[in-house]
Amino acid sequence: MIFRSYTEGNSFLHRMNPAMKLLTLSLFLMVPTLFLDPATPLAFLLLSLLLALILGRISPFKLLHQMAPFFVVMLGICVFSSLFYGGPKSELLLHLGPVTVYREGVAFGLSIGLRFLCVLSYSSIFVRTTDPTLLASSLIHQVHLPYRIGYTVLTAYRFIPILQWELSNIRDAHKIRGGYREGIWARLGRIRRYGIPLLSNGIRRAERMAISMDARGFGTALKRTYYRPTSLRTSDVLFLIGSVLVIVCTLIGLNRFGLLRGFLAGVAESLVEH
Amino acid sequence: MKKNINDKSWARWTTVELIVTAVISVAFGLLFMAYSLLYVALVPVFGQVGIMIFLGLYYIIGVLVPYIVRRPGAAILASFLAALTELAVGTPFGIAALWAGLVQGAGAEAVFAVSRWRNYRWYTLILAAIVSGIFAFGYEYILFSYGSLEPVVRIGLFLVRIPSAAVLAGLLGKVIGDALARTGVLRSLRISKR
Repeated sequence: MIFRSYTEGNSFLHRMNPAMKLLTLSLFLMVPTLFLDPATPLAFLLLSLLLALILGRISPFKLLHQMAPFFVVMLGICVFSSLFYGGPKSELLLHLGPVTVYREGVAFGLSIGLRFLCVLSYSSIFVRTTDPTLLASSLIHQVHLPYRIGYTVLTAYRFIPILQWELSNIRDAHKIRGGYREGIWARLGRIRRYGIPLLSNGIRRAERMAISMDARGFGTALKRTYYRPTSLRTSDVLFLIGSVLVIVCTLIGLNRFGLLRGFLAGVAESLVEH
Repeated sequence: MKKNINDKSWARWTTVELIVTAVISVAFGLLFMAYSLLYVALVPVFGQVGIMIFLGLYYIIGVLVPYIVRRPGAAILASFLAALTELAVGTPFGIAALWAGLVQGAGAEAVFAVSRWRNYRWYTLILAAIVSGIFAFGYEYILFSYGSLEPVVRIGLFLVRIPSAAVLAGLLGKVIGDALARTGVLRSLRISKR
């Protein structure tokens, strides 16, 4: 199971403000990019599993299982980043013809690979615990997106099943006329033959929808009311503050054990070398 | 007269333009989901650098929608909506894809902004696609610390996506836009009004 969309639940993460959750999880995701050692992304990966378990009521095993197909990708990233590491090197680990592997290279490769897993982990926590409709609502209320744009986001969501249905309709129409073949080239040709009718039908539908919205005076009212408005609660702000504290403590802890290797340190080293 | 609560730049968009932007973005968001799987599966065949010859398609949404609706903000809004669609369907890259969408959209938007959203000729579209790719490179540079890779590899990661963006996003965006205009469904939009 690779695609796992929103699943209903009643955990803290399910209930919290989507925009604030996006901000906080983005913070968790971006902080490891400032460090080049493997320990930092590993610590943040473990933090994500804890976060999922305690605040999201998602089993860490489920989360890892969901990420399993991407372990191959992660391995590829590790090998690539290790082989082409361009920073300061000291200890040669492997020498096979033109291929040289250094200890620092392997550490860097692991760091980037684990960072990739961090991206997947925090992203799936967000996707699984966030109702897309509430995300749109909080973009209007907390990010202050103009409501016509916010409403466009909601309309976009409504089009997802409509377009999927439309696509199967077009596919059936082609099958009835006997134009359905197997194979890679037939598949590629189908993108063109299905794509234009799919888009033009969708646009026709969009036009009708827009006309009926205009007829009902969409965008003219100064104030709108909402079925399920989102608000920013104290617990949301506390979650952000708590997260910042956890991040800072994790970094201090890693530093105490001498595991932290900063991005700026890496830049400084490479400057000294040249 | 009381003013509309929306700020000026968005207020000029007609409802049709907004909803058409939504439907095209959703269609491409769904396409990107399928494309991502293919892309990831082909990495072992083409290599981490070579695969970027297919990367350009992701920038098409920031070219096609502005080409059709021709409004300020079209590139950013369309890229954002496509990313939100991926999020709603459950992309494994969720948050990272959302920020990537905004960054790419900003790149294309910058090019259209230079002509004050008046020039939509083929070279502008190609330039928008390429700048979109350059912005995306900047984002990946931070996310995957390209700065610590060998300079040759860094240049490769940058250069390979340029022709890809020009063809798969710039030219293909124009071809699809023109093909849609020929079907007549874009009559109420700016692409058909000049």
